[in-house]
Amino acid sequence: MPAFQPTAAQFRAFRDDEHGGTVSQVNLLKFRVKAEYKRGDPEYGEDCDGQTAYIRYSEAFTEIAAEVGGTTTLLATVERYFIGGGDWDGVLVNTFPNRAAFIATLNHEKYKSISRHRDAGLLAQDLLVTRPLWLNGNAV
Amino acid sequence: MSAIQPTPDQIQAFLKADMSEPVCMVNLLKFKDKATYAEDAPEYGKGLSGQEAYQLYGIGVFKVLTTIGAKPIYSAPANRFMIGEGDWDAVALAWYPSRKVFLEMPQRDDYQAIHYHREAGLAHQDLIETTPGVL
Repeated sequence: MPAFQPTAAQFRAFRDDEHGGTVSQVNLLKFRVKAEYKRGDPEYGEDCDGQTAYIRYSEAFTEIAAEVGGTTTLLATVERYFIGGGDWDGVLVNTFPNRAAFIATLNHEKYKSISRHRDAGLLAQDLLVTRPLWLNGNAV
Repeated sequence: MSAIQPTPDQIQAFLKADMSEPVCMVNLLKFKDKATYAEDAPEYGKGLSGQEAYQLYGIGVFKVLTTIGAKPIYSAPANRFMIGEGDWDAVALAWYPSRKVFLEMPQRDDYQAIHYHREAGLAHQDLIETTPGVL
């Protein structure tokens, strides 16, 4: 089922988990062919693809996440499937010192403004919550 | 689709790409409940889970990757889906300085020596070839 946001139950399950350590949020992304900015967005009417709009979101997200210790582990576009099969266009992994830092990023005063790029560029996604064992060659 | 290995078409498609370019391989992993080691493996009958067997593979791959100039970027058990749904147990990312380095890895002796842990632990996986913009 194509999804765009957490359900209320999914958000609560994440928020209320007692695990207090590092979390990496693995985003499997499907972009719109053409970005769909809304009337009122500065980019409305601009001729750009969904991937370009989403990358704007990701870059702005990385900036506000950095304020609470979040980092972007990977932002990558999909070339092809080497094993298995699927239809994702991109993969984004963001790592936070704890789950509260992720929620703080979503509640950042700038988030509402930058999320227009996500709305414009993203068709659907999965978001897996993971607990890294190692990151950038080091044990967590 | 439940897969363990690339199909011949997938290998051909990979071979058509530029062998000199770096790639990040994104592993979405599903483990067996119980590891299935062959009778002649030292771990046979020890009651390891699929996840434990795959972790032994992961430790071995980590060493191989650092030897060949690749980078084990990240490995993590998947805790839950926060958006969407699916059935993956873990995610791992490995960066290769070129497609050529990735392609040659399975022929190495040190890789072949640890590969049986993957067969013992892995139920199926997706392996997504990506071009990293931010790493």
